Amino acid sequence: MSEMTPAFAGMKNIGSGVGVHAALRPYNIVSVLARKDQAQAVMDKAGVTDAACQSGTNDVTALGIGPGRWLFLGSTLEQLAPLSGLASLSDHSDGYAVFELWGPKIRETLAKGVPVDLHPTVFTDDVAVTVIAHIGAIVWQSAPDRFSIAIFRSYAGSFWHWLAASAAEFGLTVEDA
Amino acid sequence: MSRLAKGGLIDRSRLLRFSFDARIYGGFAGDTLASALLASDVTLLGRSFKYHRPRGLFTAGSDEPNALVELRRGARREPNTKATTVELFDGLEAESQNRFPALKFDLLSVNNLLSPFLTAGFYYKSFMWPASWWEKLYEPAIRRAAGLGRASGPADPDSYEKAHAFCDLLVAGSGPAGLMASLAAARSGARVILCDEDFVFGGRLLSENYIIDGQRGADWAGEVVEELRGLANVTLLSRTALLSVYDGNSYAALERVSDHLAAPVLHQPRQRLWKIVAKRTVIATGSHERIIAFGGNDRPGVMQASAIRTYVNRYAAVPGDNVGIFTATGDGWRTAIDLIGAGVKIAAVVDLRPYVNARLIAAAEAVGVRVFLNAEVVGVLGGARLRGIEISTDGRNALTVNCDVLGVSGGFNPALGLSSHLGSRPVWSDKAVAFVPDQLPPGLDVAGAARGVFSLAAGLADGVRAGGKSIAVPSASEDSDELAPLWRTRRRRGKAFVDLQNDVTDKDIELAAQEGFNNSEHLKRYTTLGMATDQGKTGALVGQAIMAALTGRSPSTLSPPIARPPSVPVAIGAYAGLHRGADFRPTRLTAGHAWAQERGAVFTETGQWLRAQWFAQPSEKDWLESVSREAAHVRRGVGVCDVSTLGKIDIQGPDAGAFLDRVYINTFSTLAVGKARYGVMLREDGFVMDDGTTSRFAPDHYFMTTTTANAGKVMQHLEFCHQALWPELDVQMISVTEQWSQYAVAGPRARDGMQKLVDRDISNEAFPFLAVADLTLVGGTRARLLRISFSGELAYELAVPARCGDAAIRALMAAGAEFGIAPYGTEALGVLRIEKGHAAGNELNGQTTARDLGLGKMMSSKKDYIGRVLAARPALVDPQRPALAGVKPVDRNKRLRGGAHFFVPGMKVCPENVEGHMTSICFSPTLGHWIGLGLLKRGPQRIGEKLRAFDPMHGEDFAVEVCSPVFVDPEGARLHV
Repeated sequence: MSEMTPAFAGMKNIGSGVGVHAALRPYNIVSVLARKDQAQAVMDKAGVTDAACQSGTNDVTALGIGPGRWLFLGSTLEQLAPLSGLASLSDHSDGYAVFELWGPKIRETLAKGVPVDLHPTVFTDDVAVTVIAHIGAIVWQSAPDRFSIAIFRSYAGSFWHWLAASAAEFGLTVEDA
Repeated sequence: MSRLAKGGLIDRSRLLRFSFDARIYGGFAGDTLASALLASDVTLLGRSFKYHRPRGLFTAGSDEPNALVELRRGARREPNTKATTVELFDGLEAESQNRFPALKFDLLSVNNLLSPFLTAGFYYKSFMWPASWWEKLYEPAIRRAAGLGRASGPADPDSYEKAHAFCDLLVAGSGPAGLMASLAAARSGARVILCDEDFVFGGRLLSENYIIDGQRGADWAGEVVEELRGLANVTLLSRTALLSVYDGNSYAALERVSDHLAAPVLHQPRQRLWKIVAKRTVIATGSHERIIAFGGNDRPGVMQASAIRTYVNRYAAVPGDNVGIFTATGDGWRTAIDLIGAGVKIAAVVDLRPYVNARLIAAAEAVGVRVFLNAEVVGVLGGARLRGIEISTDGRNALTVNCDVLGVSGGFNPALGLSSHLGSRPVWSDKAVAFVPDQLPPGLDVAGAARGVFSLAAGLADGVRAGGKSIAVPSASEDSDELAPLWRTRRRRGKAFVDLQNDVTDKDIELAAQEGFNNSEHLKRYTTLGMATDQGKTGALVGQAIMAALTGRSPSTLSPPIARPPSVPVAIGAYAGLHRGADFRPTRLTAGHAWAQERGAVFTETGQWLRAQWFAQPSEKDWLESVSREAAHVRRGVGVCDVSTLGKIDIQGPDAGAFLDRVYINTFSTLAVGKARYGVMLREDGFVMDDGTTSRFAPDHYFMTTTTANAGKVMQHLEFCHQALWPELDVQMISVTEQWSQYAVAGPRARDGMQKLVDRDISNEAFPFLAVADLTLVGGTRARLLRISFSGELAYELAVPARCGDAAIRALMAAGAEFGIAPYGTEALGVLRIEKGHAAGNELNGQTTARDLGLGKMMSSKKDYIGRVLAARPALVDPQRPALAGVKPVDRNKRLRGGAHFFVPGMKVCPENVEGHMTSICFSPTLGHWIGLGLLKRGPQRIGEKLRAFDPMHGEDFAVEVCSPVFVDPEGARLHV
């Protein structure tokens, strides 16, 4: 069955200049919620940290989204089977739309919606579970100066409206996923 | 009156044309509307609020009480902007306000003659009776008379945005103290934000002939700003007023991004609302020179002495040919000196004080200035323009001196608004002769004139202190801050104002004192002292001090002012930002949205979601026809409906079953794997909160569904129950609403198409009612199938990962095509559920119990659950409570109406006799007439009884028959085929 994401059909370039680039990044995403008293065991087994930051191993990034709660990026339920019994797992690969945003004006743009200090000396490997334009969002840096923002997929159109309006003065360019 | 040939911070090479009351004038880049009008000899700028007296400029900043103008035209027209804060641009159109028909000839100035009747409290006293006249007569008349400009009418064409910023030090105000505080912190590497409401940084330094470190003050400020601009850790925000101080070291500021342009540049907002979180903040917003209450002190030409310096020094705009000064401070003399230096004639300096530095007097008299000591101005000459002043010396009779401008200096009020936003009460300072900030909230500091440190040298040093890092304080020229307090003159002729914007005079203060409104808050409400756009910055304290004197108190005993945010007027658009119109809140779209659009769906909002309400076909004349067709199609053939918006929650863990038993009234721990069950949950108070089906996919994995509207609330409730009530349970939950696209396929032929798509036998035997399974669709997509039914027909819900949601609905339509599958929307869904007597939003209204809804039998007696105890309260188990019943019209042609009330025939129509009301209605295509559900006292026991359905809203009143709420297939046979 083919993949089609009509909620994202509105993504198009706006303004002139190359202030901000945006791309959709499909990820395999699994939520990992430690079972009672098993957070340490999950940390040991998966090599992750129980804090509002990124952690993990080579191919897997775990986003700390709450005490004993992570989103594992790049993992499937099958790959995380060793955690069964230690954590409750749910597939969210389709539940989130993940936008990667970068460019010389990325922080100025994000400042228009993200109520978090994203200064490079302050926000490094952090993960912010926050809100952008009344839309729940998870924000992290996938690489220095490259921000990833996960929102529930049904909000993609409204999120894009905010992004386009906020980045328009700097120029927004859509890149291939 | 004219422009100096040189000097000032204006660019004479850039001429800007603008209009005021349809006449064209010219100004220069760097001007404000006020300075350009002044330089063009326009001195009459408005009419006062109550008496319609002629008014001119009184200040040169945001404390301006008089010069309120309308800017621009059409949809961009904005009322009540202070001309003193408007940065001039080419093509600016401005109009005066509050005059009829014209500024120079104003009919309503008759109010001035009626003024004995228009004293404080006039409105309260005169418009009390009769109350019915208020809306039709009094209010429109008062609004016209006291009009403060007109709203544009059409929607604002510009956009607004919000932004967030974080810093170590936030500085508001870029005068001597603000610049030094910024510099001290910035040089240490701290992240600094410096904002100023002006379009040039420098504050008072732009208006004075100060010398700092051997340079002109304005040049010194320019160099400091350049240093700050060159530092990566500094953000400079000009045209940005700090608006509000909030808890948690957070602040709001308004950046007027495009107010100085005729229209914003493409993709630029008109204004930007900043939320700033600062570890420390320094308020350095200076002070406001205050009025002295003397006769005719509102005459155009009477101005703050400091404002005159601003116009002359910064804008090279000379307000008059022959200037008088009335002062209680050294500041008035400073104005005289600067004007003499600029070649302007000074007619007289009238100083309240008996002793003044002899060198000053000698210097003044040397250039022909008449000096009056121990003297006061008691009245003025002139109408729309000042012509002269009457001076009384040593209490003797007045003598007259001609002048066309009078500079007034009654001392300075520190700008206290921001520092009091969190409730800090200022204290009286005998040294500053004003209120100054006292205890401040953590992280907030005040520097310079804003805390009563008035002299230049002290202000620079105070800024360094507030900046928190030691740097050298530059040397500053001599600056006098001596003053003697003068609130009002001993004698006066004519009205002496203490609040120019609200037309409050010293007589009004006396009246308030007479009538017992002594307290400063009472005084404010009774007289309107200190209200409106200038917030009484120049006069309110004078009024308060007069009240203190009248009641035999020192000003220090006054209840000092506490201000509320914002500090300057803000357009509502700035607070709304991007979120207006359709973007007021975000919109959620299902993965099948585009498909539904293609099929001609009409959408309805369900919370933030858009759902297909019905799918109109070209031949159909109204929605009812479309909806009846869709519902009938489900009963006879097969339909498909997008139910992705229902809340979905994964509940996992060894104690998941035990947890569900505690939140649902019925039992889930006994549910077999591979099965679904309908559940009802109560609030703690015993009323129904939500309902839905929960399925079990593994011993430790349940999948709950909620109603669309309550999805968030239920998730919150479950989290609360686990975290706060039963943390000992090993259960985990997470919303998976967005992971799954879910479609209900319902109707006698539902299986035919579905069987073609799935990889397992779904015959009634292999996959009976309430079976659920993980399975794979043809082509390999993983999916879930649930045999649950809201319509009462054979039905399945197919859940696929959301990225496949669009493809899945198309595949369902293709597979069902040969069986006549058709989409149906939420209206048909409603028809189907009403025909089956299922409670939904109209019945789950927060006021109904499980028993009321006919679900009492589900309430387990073998376990405890949320709401059990309070659901047993006497009133909630009262057999007289309205309970769910069906209703049909006796005359089957009648159309039922939701909200109609039930009465026993023959009983009087009154609230006491109401038997219940109609909650849901629809036209039943199955039965061929309208049917309804209602909450009726003892409803289930009254089947067959005839009642009146009374609906005064629609003017209808006819007989209905009570019946079972299940209109179709009461045995439920169709579910099991």
